[in-house]
Amino acid sequence: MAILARANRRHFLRHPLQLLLAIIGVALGVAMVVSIDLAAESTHRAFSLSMEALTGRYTHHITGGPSGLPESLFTRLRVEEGLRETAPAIEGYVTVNDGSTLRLAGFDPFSERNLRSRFVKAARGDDAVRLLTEPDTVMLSAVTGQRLGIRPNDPMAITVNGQPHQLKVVGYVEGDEAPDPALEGLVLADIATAQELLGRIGVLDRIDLILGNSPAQERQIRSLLPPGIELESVAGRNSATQNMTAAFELNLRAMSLLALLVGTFLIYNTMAFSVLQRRELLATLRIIGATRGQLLREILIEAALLGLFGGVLGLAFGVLAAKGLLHMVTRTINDLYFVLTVTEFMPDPLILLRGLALGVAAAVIAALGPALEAAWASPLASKARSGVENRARRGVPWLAVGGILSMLIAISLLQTESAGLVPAIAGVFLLLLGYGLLTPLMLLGFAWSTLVLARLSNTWLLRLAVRGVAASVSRAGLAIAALTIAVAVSVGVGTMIESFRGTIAEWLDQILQADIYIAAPSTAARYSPPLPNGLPEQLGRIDGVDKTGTGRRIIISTSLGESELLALDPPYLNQPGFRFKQADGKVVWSTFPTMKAVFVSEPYAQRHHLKVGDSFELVTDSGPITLPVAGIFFDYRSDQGLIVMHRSLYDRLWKDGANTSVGLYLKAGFDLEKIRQEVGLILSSQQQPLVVRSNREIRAASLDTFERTFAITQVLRLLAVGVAFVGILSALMAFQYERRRELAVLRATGLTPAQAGWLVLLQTGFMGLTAGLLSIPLGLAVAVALVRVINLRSFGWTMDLAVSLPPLFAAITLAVFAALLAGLYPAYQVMRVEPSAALREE
Amino acid sequence: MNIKIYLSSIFLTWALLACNQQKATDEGVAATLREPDFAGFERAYAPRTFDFPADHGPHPDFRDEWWYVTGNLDGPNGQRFGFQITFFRHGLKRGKPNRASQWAGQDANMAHFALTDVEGKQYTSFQRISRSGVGLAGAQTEPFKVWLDDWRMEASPGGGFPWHFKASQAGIELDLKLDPRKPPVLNGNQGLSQKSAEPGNASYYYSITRMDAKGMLKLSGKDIPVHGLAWLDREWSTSMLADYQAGWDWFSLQLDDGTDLMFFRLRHKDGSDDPTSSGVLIAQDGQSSRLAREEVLIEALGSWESPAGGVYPSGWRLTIKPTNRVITIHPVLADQEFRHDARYWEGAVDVLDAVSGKPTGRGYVELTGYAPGKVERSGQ
Repeated sequence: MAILARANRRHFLRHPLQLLLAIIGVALGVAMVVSIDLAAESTHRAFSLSMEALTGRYTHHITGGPSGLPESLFTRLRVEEGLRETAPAIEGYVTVNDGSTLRLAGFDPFSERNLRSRFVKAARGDDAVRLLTEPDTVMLSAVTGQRLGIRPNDPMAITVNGQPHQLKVVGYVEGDEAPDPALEGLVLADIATAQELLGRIGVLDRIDLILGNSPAQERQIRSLLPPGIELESVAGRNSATQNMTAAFELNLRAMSLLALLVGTFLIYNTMAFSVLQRRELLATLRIIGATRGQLLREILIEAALLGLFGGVLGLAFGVLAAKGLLHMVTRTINDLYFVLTVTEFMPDPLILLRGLALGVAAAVIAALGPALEAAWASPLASKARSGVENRARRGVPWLAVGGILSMLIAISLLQTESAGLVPAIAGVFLLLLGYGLLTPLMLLGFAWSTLVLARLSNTWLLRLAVRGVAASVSRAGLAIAALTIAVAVSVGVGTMIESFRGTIAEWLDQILQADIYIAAPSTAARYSPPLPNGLPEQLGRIDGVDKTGTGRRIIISTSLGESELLALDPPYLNQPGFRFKQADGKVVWSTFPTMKAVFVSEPYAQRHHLKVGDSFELVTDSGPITLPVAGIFFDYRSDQGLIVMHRSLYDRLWKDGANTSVGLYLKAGFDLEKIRQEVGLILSSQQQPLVVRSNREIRAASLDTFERTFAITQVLRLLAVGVAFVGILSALMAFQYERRRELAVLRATGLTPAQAGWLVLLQTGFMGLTAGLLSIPLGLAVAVALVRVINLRSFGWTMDLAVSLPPLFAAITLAVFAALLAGLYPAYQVMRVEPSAALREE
Repeated sequence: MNIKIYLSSIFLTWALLACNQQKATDEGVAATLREPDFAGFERAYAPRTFDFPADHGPHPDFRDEWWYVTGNLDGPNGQRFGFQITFFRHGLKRGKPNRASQWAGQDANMAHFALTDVEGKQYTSFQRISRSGVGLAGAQTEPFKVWLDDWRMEASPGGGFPWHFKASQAGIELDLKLDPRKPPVLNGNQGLSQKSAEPGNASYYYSITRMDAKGMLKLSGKDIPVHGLAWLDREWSTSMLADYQAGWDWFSLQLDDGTDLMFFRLRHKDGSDDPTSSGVLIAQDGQSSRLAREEVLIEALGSWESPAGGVYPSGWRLTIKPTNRVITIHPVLADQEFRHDARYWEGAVDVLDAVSGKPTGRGYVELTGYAPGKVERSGQ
C-alpha cells in the first residue's frame, strides 16, 4: 500500500504542472458553479430580507391606485372601526451622491409599536422624538451609513424626484445593535417627513394591518374601502413581486448548470489525463504485485483528494467571483424589476458544501473510467496505447447513435409549445450533450476529408498531424467536444444578444415617434413620477411644436394581478405606435381613440395566456370594469408586460389628471436644438426638475440599459470559453504527452526540432479548427433555441433572428487560437527534448 | 395628584419608545425624572382663574396633561367592578408645527384602561399610545372630547354633561355616562398644587369627586348593566419629581355619608413625607376644606409583593384629625398593578369604619415608586 501511495506521490512531484492543472481544473469548475449559485441565492435572499424588513408581522395591506389612498381612511379605521393593529406607510426612492438608490420608508413610530415590527427598534429614545418633531430628519441603515460614510448627526444630501434635499441623520436604524444587513439601503423617516419629502401630502401608499384569519373581518374592511382601494394579503403581494424575477433567476440557474457541465468536462479531462499518464507506472505496480482493488482504491482516493483541494480553491475563487456577479445581478434586477437595496453578500454554507461535494464527486467519477481501465487491463497490454484506441474507435458509432437520439429528444422538447421553461432548458442541454456525443464521429469524418485534401496537396507534415489526431480519437474527441460546446454556446448566446439588440433598435424606432420627450427623472423601475399640471399645454404653445402627445404610466390592480398601465394620447393615427402581432396595425390603430378596449404587450399576453378578444377585469377609480383585448403588440420595455389604453378611456375610468411623459412633434423645418432650448426655459420655471431628451437620446439610453442587462450573460459566456480553454490545454498536454515517444522516434529518424514543433502546432490547430467549424451549426441551433423558445417562455417576447457572419468567423478564430495557445507549451517541450532521452524511457 | 407626573417623564424613554429592558433600570428612571429641559413649556407658578367648561379641554402650553376617571360599579346580581380610564397628553415640543403634513404633531398620547372584576378575582389592564396627527388621538374643548383610537370620552350632544365614555379591547367593553353630583373642586392653593419646594414644580389640579356612572359592561360575552360612582381628576403641568422624591400614595374615597376625601402623600427616598403632601375633604354640599400633611395620619396594615418584583403596602388605617374619624382601607383585590410601560398599583378599595368595622364607603388608591421598571403586558 505504502509503495503505491509513494509511487503516485512521486509521479505528481515529478510533474508539478500536471498536478497544478488538475487542481486548477477542478477549482475552475467548482468556482463557476458556486459563484453563479451564490449570486443567485444572495439576490433571492436579499429580496426576502428586504421584503421582511419592510413588512414585519403584517398579514395584510390596503393599497390604493396611482394617487395613493387618503390618510383620512387610516384615521377612520383606527378611530371609528377600532382597528388598532394598523400602520400607515409611505415609500419612495431617493438617490445619494454616489449614485445609489435608497428606499425611503415613512412610518409612524406609535403605530409600529402596536404591530411590533422591525422598525420598533428605531422608534425609541430621543432619536425618535427628533424624527417626530424636527423636519427633514431620518434614520439610516447602519450598513448603508458606514458605506456612505454618514454617521449619526451628520447631514445627508439626497435627490428625491429630481430635487436636491438636505437631510439630518439622527441615528442608525439599528441603534447600538449590530448592523443588520437586511436593512441595507433603508432610510427611515417619520411619516410626516416622508410625505413632505416625497410630495405626498394627505395620502398614504399603504396601510399595513394584522388581521386574524377571519374572512368576515376581511369582508367588513373591504366594505369600507372606496373604489380603487384594495385589501390584499402580504403573502400574495410578496409572491407576486418575487414571481417577476422567476424567469430571470431560472435563466441564471441554467447558466450555472451550463457551468457545471463544462466544469465536469474539465474535471474529467484532468483526472483522466493524470491517470493515463501513469498507465505504465500502474502497469509496473501491477506486475510487482499490487492488486486491482488496491490500484483502484488508490486512484480514487487520490482523485478525491485532488477534488477536495481543487474544490476548496474553487470555493475561494467562487466566492470572489460571486461578489462581482452579485453586483451585476442586482443591477439588472434594479433596472428591470424592482429596487433591491440589500446587496449584502450572503455565502450560504449549503451552496459551498454542494460545490465542494460536486468537485470531489466529479473528480472521483471522472477518475473511475481511467482507473478501471488501468486496473483491469492486463499489465502488458496496458503499456500499449493501441488497445485503448481500438476499443474507443469501436465505440464511436454507438456514441453517435446516442448523440442523435438525445438531439431528437431535445428537438421535441423545444418544439412542444405547451412545455414550460424547464423542459426547454433541458432541451438545450440535451442538444449540447447530443452534439458532444456526435463529435468523435464528425472528427473522424473531418479528419478523413482533410487527409484526402492533404494527400492531393502532398503536405506530409499535415497528413502526419491529422492522422495522429484521428488515431487517438478517445482523447482528441473529448477535448474537441468540450471546445465545440463552449464555442457553440458562445456563438448561440452572442447571436441571441445580437438578434435582440436588432429587434430592440427597430422597436425603439417604431415607438419613439415624437421628436422630444419630457419626463420626470425616474428613480426606480416601475415607478414614474407625475409631471406638473398644465405642462403639456404650455409646451404645446412653443413655436415650432406641431402637436403634443402624452403618456401616463401607473401600476393598477387587475384580475390578473398588479399590472402596469400606459394611457396614451397620440396626436397622429396614420402611423401605428406599435407593431401589432396579429391584426393589421393600421386598422387597429385607427380605432384606438374610440375603442372601449385595451391593447396588451406580447409578454403580458404570454404571461397571462391572453388572445385577442379575451377579456379581463381592471380595478379603476370608479370600480372594477371588464375590458376586451383589441390587439397584442410587440414590446420589450418590461417582461412583466404592459396594458395600453387611450387617454380618453383612462380619464373616464380614473380620476387622475396627471401625466408622466409628454412627447413633442415638431413642424418640419424647425431646429430641434432651438426648440429644446425653449423647452428648457419653460422647465426651468418648474419646481420639479424634468428631463428633456430627444428620441435619439432615448434610443441610445435604452440600448445602454440593454447592454447592462446582458452584461452578466456576456461575462458568463466568456467564463464558459475560459473554462473550455483550460480544458483543452490539459487535454492537449495529455495528448502530446502520450505521443512523446512517437515524436522521439520521428526525431530520431530525421524530423528537425522545428518540424516537430510544427507538427504539434498543426495537430492542435487542426483540433481547434475542427472544434470551431463544428461549433457553428451547434451555435446557430442554440441561438434559434434561445431566441425562439427560451426567451419566449422566459420573458414572453419574440424577436427576429439575426445571423451575421463576423461573430461566426470570430468563433472559429477563437477556437483555433485557443488550441494553438494550448499547443505552445507542448510544442516547446517537444522541440527541446533530446530524442535519446525520450526513447530511454522505454 | 396621580400617576401622571411619573408617567409623563417616562414618556420619552419608555412609553412612546419601546426600548430594551436593560435600560429600564432604577438609574434610567431617576435620570429621566431629573430631566431639566422644559422645552419652552409654561410652568405653574401662581394660582389662576379656572373657567368651566373651557378648562375641561386641553392646555397645550403645558407639557403634560391628563383626564383621569376611576370608579366603583355594581352589576344587577351583586357583581362588583372597579375601573380606571386615563388619557394622557405629553407635549414633545411646544407650539404648533409649521409643516405641510397633517401627521406632523408635537404631542404623544397615551391611554390606560383597567377593569377589576371582584367576583372573578380578575384585574385586566390595557395601554395604548398614539400621535395626535390626522385625528388619531387628542383633546378638544368645543365640544369637549378626549380620545385615542376608538377609546373616547366626550360631552353629550348639547356640549355639557353627562359625559360619555367608551373603551373596548380584547372582549372587554365599558360604556358609561358620567354625570357630576358636585361641582369641580380646586385642589391645593386655589387649584395650584405644589409638588416640591421648587417654584413652578406644580400643577393646576381640579377634581369632580362624585359622579354618577351608569352604563353597560361587556365581559366574557355578556352584557352587564352597571351603575356606581366615579371620580374625575384633571391636572396639567410642566413638572417632575425632585431627585429626593421616590413616589406617592394617593387616596380618593367616596364615603356613604356623601363626603369625599382626597389625600396624597409624596414620599421621599429616605422614607419621610414631603411637606407638600396634602388633601381635601368635600362635604355633601360640595363645600371643600384643605387637609394639611399633619392632619391625616396614614398607617399601612399589610403588604403585597408583585409577581414582577416590588413590595407595595396593602391596606391602611387613616386617621382624619379635623373630623376625628378613623377608617380602614382594604383593596378589593390584592393584584391591581398596572404592568405595561409604566408600573404602578391603581386599585379599587373598600372603606370601613375602624371602630365598628362596618362598610362606610369605597374608593381608589394609587401607589407609585414601589416597583421600578417596565414589564411587558403581564397585566392581561
